[in-house]
Amino acid sequence: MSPYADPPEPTPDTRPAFDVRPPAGRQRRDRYFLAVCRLTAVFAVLLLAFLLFSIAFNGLDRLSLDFLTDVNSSTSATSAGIGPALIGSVVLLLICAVTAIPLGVGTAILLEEYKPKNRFLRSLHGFVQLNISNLAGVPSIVYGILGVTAFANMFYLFGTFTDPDVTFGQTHYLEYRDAADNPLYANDTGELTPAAPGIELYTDPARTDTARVTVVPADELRPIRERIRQDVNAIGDTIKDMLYATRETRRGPLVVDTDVAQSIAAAAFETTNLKADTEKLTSIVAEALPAMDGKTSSQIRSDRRALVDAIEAAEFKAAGTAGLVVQGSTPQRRSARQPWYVQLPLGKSVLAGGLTLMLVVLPIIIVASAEAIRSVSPSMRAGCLALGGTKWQAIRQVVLPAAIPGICTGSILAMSRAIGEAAPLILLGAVFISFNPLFRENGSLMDSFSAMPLQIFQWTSEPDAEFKRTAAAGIIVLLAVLLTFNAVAVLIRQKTQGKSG
Amino acid sequence: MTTAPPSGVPLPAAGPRRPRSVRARVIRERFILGLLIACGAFTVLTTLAIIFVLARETFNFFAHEMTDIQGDTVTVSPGDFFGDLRWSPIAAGSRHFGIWPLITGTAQVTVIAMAFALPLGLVTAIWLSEYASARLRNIIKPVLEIIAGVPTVVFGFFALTVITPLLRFDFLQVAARNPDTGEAVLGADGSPILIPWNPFDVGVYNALAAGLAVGIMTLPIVTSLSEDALRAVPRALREGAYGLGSSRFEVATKVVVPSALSGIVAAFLLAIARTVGETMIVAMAAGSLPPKLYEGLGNAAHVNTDTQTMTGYMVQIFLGDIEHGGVEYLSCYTVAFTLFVITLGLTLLGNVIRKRFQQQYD
Repeated sequence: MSPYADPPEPTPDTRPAFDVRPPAGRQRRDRYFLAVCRLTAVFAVLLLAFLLFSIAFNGLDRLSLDFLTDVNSSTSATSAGIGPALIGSVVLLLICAVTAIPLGVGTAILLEEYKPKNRFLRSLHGFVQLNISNLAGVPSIVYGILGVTAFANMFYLFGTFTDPDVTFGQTHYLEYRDAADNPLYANDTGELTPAAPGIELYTDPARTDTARVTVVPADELRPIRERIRQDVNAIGDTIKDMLYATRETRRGPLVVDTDVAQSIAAAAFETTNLKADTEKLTSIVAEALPAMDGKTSSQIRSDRRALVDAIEAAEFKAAGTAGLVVQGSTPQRRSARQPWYVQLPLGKSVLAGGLTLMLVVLPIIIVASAEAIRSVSPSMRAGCLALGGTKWQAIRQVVLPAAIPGICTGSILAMSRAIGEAAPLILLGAVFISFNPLFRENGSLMDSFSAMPLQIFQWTSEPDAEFKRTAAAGIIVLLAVLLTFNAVAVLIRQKTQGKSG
Repeated sequence: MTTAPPSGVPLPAAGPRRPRSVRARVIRERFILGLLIACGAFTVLTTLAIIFVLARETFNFFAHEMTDIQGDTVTVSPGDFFGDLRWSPIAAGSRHFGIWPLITGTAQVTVIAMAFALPLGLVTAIWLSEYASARLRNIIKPVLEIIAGVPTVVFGFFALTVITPLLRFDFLQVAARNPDTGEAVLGADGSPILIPWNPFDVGVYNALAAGLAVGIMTLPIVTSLSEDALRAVPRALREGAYGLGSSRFEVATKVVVPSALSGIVAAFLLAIARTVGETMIVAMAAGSLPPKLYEGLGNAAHVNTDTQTMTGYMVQIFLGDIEHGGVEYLSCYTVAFTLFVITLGLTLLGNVIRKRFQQQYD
């Protein structure tokens, strides 16, 4: 607080200042009541201690660095992590803070500084204040419903989430496949044009590197495919002979271990002229052969067929069919999203979730900021105006800097309330998410999200009792974050009050 | 109070500096005022949007024929809604849309929570304002603030994993007693046969645990609001009573609390409004079967079994598969509207009582 402000009024000490001992019976009643009061206070403290202790007891052993930071949280009780939910909560909080604080402080300034004298405007002013105190009492799940209708669906004015009317930051392209199943990309012309000679194709989705392709009719590929098939089948026969050579008796089971598999694989590809990487083919075969150890002949046959198919596919990919696009093949339409991708309607996205949380905390911020602004001494304001400043200059350069500590503590406490809210997000968040979309390649603010309270809710609802421990660990993380927030708020309050005192 | 000087007097700056344009300043002031009014209008817009969204879907719920996931159609009239004693909107065979079971569920949790929080909160508030020294205040107030800051999912977890097992804890009692002598029947080893006995007889999901957790959560609110009301009573009243020879207890109960009654009642109403709107605790611990009022109104008192509140039903629907415009979707919005009306009524009533009946000390 500024040094020119009046010192804050001390809370009135309402205890009696002198000896107030009435006669025995009434004194006894007084003492009993005092005992009851003390018991109640102790009971409250014990409750809190019991609550914290039971959570710590349940959850401490599940806490670990992996629990905190693992971005892919699995769905098993012992390896589930709170990483995605933590990231989701942080992003939600940022969106909420960025939108709620300006709105809240602006409304508070309007309510406190611009008090009208006109009777109609004064009743409007009172109406806005009544409105805000009512909004503070609305259950948070109702805000969730409002958030879904107003932000996620946008009253269905802009289409649906999967088919939005307005998008920004999204590019479309077409994806073709060549004969070796490599993807090739082209600009989106609005139609799915089949491949034809002279088509412009690129090797990367960003369409910067032109690909050298030859568009061939399907029948031209056939001889190439036949040749490859013949070569691979010959190799398959060689492998079959070598496999059966490991048998001890004529109809006995195969005896294949890793060393034998290695030698068979090496021998099979020694004298071939395949274009595929010999090492890779060798490793494919060496991995597949030991699985045939001890199997029946019908199983061996199907295994062999699968192995031959694998070799053929690898050879197909590596051989001269790369760069050959079958004429007439149709592409698929794909879309790439920039990190700043935004669409209307917002759908069940982080942005919609953050805006819904903004609705929840807005009344709190307004009330706290109004109180902070109110506590600025009127003489400072009057001084600024007397020196010729306009109203806005008085607000911006005198009132707001003096009120900033109060606004800060109020905002931080509002944010700590927002981080713990689960009810508004139930309809918006993906309760069963296990991987954080925000850190994918195509991640943007339109992705679905999870939040810590939601994750704790889901873990607690699981029938498996082990999840209760995971939930307790999640609660510890949540409480730690809250503790940090409150500690920062208390620090700010102390520092600024110490300065002015 | 200082009289505010005329605002926005656009005087050009005196001295050697160039005078700035006066018109630009006026335009800037007007622009800023417009921005701030837009901020203020946003909150009004929020309330209007809530009312509009909820009322529209409630209207759709009553006016049109609705389809469900299986494709059957169903119509509900306000008479069904307020007259039926059964709530089973998703049961394929017989659908009932009476709101009273959900309201009863909410009332169960609220009554238990308030029975816990209101007396304890008021006593703590009286203690804080009349009895406690500054040192004790500095311990208790932060404790209450911490409880107030804990998220509700934590209380839900606490209710499900700690309170319910405690309530279900089996004590041992004597299996049978000899009807003539009154002594316990002895088993093979000479000691009385014991069987497990649970005095509360609660299920895994019950209203009692949820109500207690909600009560713990509401305790700080009741305490701080009541304490504000008690502190608003001027010292002179207290000093007068002490001067006439009252004990602290008598001052508290016969002077302070009656004077602060309007504020205390307002505090109670706000706490009840908060409890009615509580979602996560009841969603986690209370269950999903509303009280079977159609089998007898006495079922309303069964707090040891499953119950479902209005908010619990909304969570159940949210977590499931809902199609836009179907029965589940519209019933959810209608329940939300009912909830909103109830909490709004309680909040307004609390404000009215506090302003209208507040004692003026001048």
